[in-house]
Amino acid sequence: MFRLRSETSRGMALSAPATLYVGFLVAAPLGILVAYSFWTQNYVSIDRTPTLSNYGFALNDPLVRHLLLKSIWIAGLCTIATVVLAYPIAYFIAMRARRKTLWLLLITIPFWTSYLLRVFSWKLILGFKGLMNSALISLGAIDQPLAFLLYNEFAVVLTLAHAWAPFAILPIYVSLQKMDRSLLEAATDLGCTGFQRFRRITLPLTFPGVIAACLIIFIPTVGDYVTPALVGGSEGKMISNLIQVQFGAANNWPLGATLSLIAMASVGLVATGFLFLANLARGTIR
Amino acid sequence: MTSHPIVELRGVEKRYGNLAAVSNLNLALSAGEFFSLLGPSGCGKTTALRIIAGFQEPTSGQVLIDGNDMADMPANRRPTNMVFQSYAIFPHLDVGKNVGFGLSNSGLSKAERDMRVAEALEMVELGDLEDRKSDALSGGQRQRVALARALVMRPKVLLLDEPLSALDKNLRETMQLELRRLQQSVGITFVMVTHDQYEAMTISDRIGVMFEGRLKQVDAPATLYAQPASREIAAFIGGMNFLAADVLSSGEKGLGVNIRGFGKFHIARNPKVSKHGERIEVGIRPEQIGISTAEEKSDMGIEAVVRDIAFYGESIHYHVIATAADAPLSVAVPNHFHSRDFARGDKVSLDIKSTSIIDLGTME
Amino acid sequence: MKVALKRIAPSLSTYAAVYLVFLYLPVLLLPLFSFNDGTIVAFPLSGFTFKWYLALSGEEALLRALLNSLFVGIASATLATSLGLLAARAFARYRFPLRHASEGLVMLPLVVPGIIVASSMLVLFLFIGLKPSLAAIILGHAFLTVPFAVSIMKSAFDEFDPSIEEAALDLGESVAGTFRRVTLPVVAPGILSSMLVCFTVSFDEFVLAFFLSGNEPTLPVYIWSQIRFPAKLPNTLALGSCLLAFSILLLVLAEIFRRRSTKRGTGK
Repeated sequence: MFRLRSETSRGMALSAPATLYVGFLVAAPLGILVAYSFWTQNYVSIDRTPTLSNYGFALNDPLVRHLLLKSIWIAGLCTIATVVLAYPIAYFIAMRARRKTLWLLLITIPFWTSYLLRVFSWKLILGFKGLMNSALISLGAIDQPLAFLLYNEFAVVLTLAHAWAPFAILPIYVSLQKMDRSLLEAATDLGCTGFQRFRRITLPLTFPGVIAACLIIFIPTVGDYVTPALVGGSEGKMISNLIQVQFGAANNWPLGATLSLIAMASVGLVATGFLFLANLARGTIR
Repeated sequence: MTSHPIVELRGVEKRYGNLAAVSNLNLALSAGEFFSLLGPSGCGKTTALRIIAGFQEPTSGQVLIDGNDMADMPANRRPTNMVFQSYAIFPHLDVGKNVGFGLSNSGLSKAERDMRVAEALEMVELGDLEDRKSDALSGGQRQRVALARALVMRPKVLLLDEPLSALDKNLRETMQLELRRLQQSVGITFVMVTHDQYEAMTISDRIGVMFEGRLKQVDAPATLYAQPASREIAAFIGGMNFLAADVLSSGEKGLGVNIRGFGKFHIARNPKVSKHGERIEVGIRPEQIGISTAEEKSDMGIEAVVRDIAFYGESIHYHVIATAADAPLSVAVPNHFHSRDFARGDKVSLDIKSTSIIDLGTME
Repeated sequence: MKVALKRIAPSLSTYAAVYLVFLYLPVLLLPLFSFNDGTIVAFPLSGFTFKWYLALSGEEALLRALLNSLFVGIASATLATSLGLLAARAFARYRFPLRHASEGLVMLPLVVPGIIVASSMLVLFLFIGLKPSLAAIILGHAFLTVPFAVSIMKSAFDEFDPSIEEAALDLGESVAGTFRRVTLPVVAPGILSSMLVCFTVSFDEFVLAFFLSGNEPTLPVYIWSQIRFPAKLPNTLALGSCLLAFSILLLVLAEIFRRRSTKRGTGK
C-alpha cells in the first residue's frame, strides 16, 4: 500500500547507497594508508610495529622534498597557465559566441577521449624527431630539431594545460553566464570604459569561477602520473612517479602510503592557503 | 441527489513542526457543486486540496468522501481525480494514451476503454488530437488533456489546482466559462483552488476564502462580495473604501453609526455583534458611491476634491479627498460615452447610500 | 568605447580559433598518422595505408584487453548509474539533513588526485582480501564515475515535473506501476546518457586500472605496455584512433540522449 513516508527518510534512504559507497572508498583506504604509513617493509613481509621512521625518512630525504616541491610548482604553473589561457575562451563563449552550445561541446569533446592517448600524442608532437620539429624544419624555420620541447617542465605544463582546459573554461563560463548583463550596461552608463568595465565588474563577479577552476585543476594535477611519466623525462618527474615506484618496483608499500599521505596533506595545505589568499584578494580586487 | 455531503472535512489540520499550513478546517460540499478555495499564495488552499486528494496526510482531523473516511485510503484508491497546476501531462505518451492512462487498471475491455477515451476527448473538444504527441500541444490543449484524463475516470470529485494560471489572459477567460459549462454537463463536484478572485467569482457556486491556514468565510460569490465577513476578505475581493465609524445604537434591524465627517447612517449589521459605543470599521465599494459636480450637490451630498484620475477603459476611478473627514476615497464610474468628466482639483459631491455601507466589525 | 570593442571582438575570435587548434591537435594527430605509411610521426607524410589497422586484428592480447575493457566499462557504468539514479532522485526531490554534505561527498572522486585514489584502493582491496583483478577495477571505476552519473541523473530529475508521478497515482496506478509506467520511461534517456558517459570514462581510464589490473590488463593498460616499443608505434596509433573514434561516438550518443531526457522532463 502506498504511504507517504517523510521526506527525510526517503531522501536519506535513496542517497545512502551512493554516499556510503563513495564515503567508504574515501575513508577506508585513507585509514589503511594511515596504518601502513606507521609500518615498515621488511623485504617481502610487513613489520607492523608502529614507527615514525617512514615519515622521518620522507621528510628528510632531499629527493622526496625536491619532488614534492616540484610537483606543487608544476601544478601551480599549470593551474596559472590553464586559467590564463582559458579565461579569454570562456569570455568569448559567454559574451561573444553566437552558438554557445556548439562551442561548449567543441571544448569538451577532447576531454572525453583517452587521457593516456592525448598525453602520448603530445609526446609525439614535441619529440626530437616529432611533429613540431619536422614541421618547422620542412617550413624552413629551423635547421636543427629543437631539443628543449620534450622531457622537461615545459612539456609537462603544456600537456597538463591541454588536458585540464575544460575544467578551467566551464566554471569561468558559468560564472560569466550567471552575471547580469545589465550590470555592464549600468557600468557603461556610469562612465566606465570597456577595460574599466571588465576590471571593475566582470573580473570581480567571475572571481569565484576562477577560484573554483584553480582548485579543480591544482588538486588533481599535483598527483598526476601519466604526464610526467611520458613527457616529463628526468627533469619533469613528479611525486606520483615516486609513489608508483614504491607500490611497484621498489615494493615498499609503507613508504608509498606515507608519500601518498604527505602529498595529500601538502595539497590540502596549499589549497587552504590559496583559498585564504583568494579571500584576501577578493577584498582588494573590488 | 445524496443527502450527505460528497466531501466533508472535519477539523482538518496540517502542521509542519510549529507551522500550521491548515488549521481546524471544517467544510461540507454538496454533490454537483462547483466550489472554489480562494486565497493568497501560501494560505494553505493547495495543501487542503492535496489532503483531499490523498497526497498529504492531515496531522489531525478527518476527510470523508461520499460518507467514507479516507484515513487509510491512499491517493491511488480515492474516488477523486486531479488537474494539476502544471497539468502533469506524461511527456512520453501521446494524447490518447495520456487520457487512457488510468483506465488500464480498471478492468475494462480495450474497446470500452477506447470508447471512454474518445468520449472524454470529445467532451473537451480534442476529438481529433488523440494521436498528437504531448510535446506538440499548446497550453490550452494541455489543460484540456489534463481535464479529459481526470474526467475519464468518472471521479466523485474533481480537484483542480490553479487550473488556469498557466494560460494567458484571453484564453483564461474563455476557459473559465468552458470549465463552468463542462462541470454543469458532467454534474461532478469540482473543487478548484485559485488565487484569482475574479476567476473564483465567475465560475463557482460557492467560494471558501482562506487566510493563513484558516477558512474565513464560505458563501456564494454575490454574498461574499456584498457581505464580506471581515476587513481582510473585503480587501482581498474587489476594491473597498475603509472608514472608521462609532456605533450609536444597536438593534435587531441594524446599527446606527456615525462615520466621522460623513454623517449618521443606519446600516445592516454584521453577524458579529457590534455593541453600542464601540468603534467599528465600515466599507463602501467604489462603484457604490455616486459622484456629481459640486453645483448639483444634494442635501445629503458630501463635499470632496478630485486628487487623481485613473482611466481603466470600461470604468474611470476617481481618487478623491472627502473635505470634512479629510479621508481619501476611491470612486468608480462606468465609462458612458457622454458622461461628465472631472479634472484634477475639481470640487465634487459624493452620494453614499446607507444600504451600500458594510459593517466590517470591531476595529482591530 | 564601441571602437575598442570592435577591435577586441575579432582578435578574441582569432584567439578562440587558435585555442581550438591547440585543443584538437593531439586528438587529430593520431588518426592522421595512423594512415601514414611510415613508422615515425614526422612530416612529410609518406603515403596512405590501412595496413596498421589490419595488423591490429591479429593481436590476441589486444582482443583480450578489449574484452576486459568492455566488461569493466559495462559493469562499472551499471553500478555507478544505479547509485547515481537513486542519489540524484534524492538530491533533486527531497530535503533532508546532510543533503549538501552528501552531494559534496559524491563529487569528491572528481578531484582526488589519481595516484592517491589508485594507491589507496590497491592497499584497501588487498587488505580486505580482494586481489588485483577486473572486479577490483570495476569497483574503482564505479567510484570514479559516480560523480558523472549523479550529475547527469540530477539534471534529468531536475527537469522532471514531480506532479506527473502524482498524476499517475491519482489515476489509480500503484507506486511500483508509477515507477514502471512513468518515472522510468521519462528518465530512460538520462539513464542511457549516464551509462554511456560512465562507460567512456571507464573505458579510457588508465592509472587506476594500471594499479589494480593484476594480470588482466584493460585496453589503456595494454596500450601503456605498447607505447614503450617504438616498433609498435604505428599499431598503437591505429588502435588509439579507433579508441578516439569510439569515445566520440559514445559521447555524441550520450549527448543526444541527455538532450532528449531534459526535453522530455518538461514535456515542452
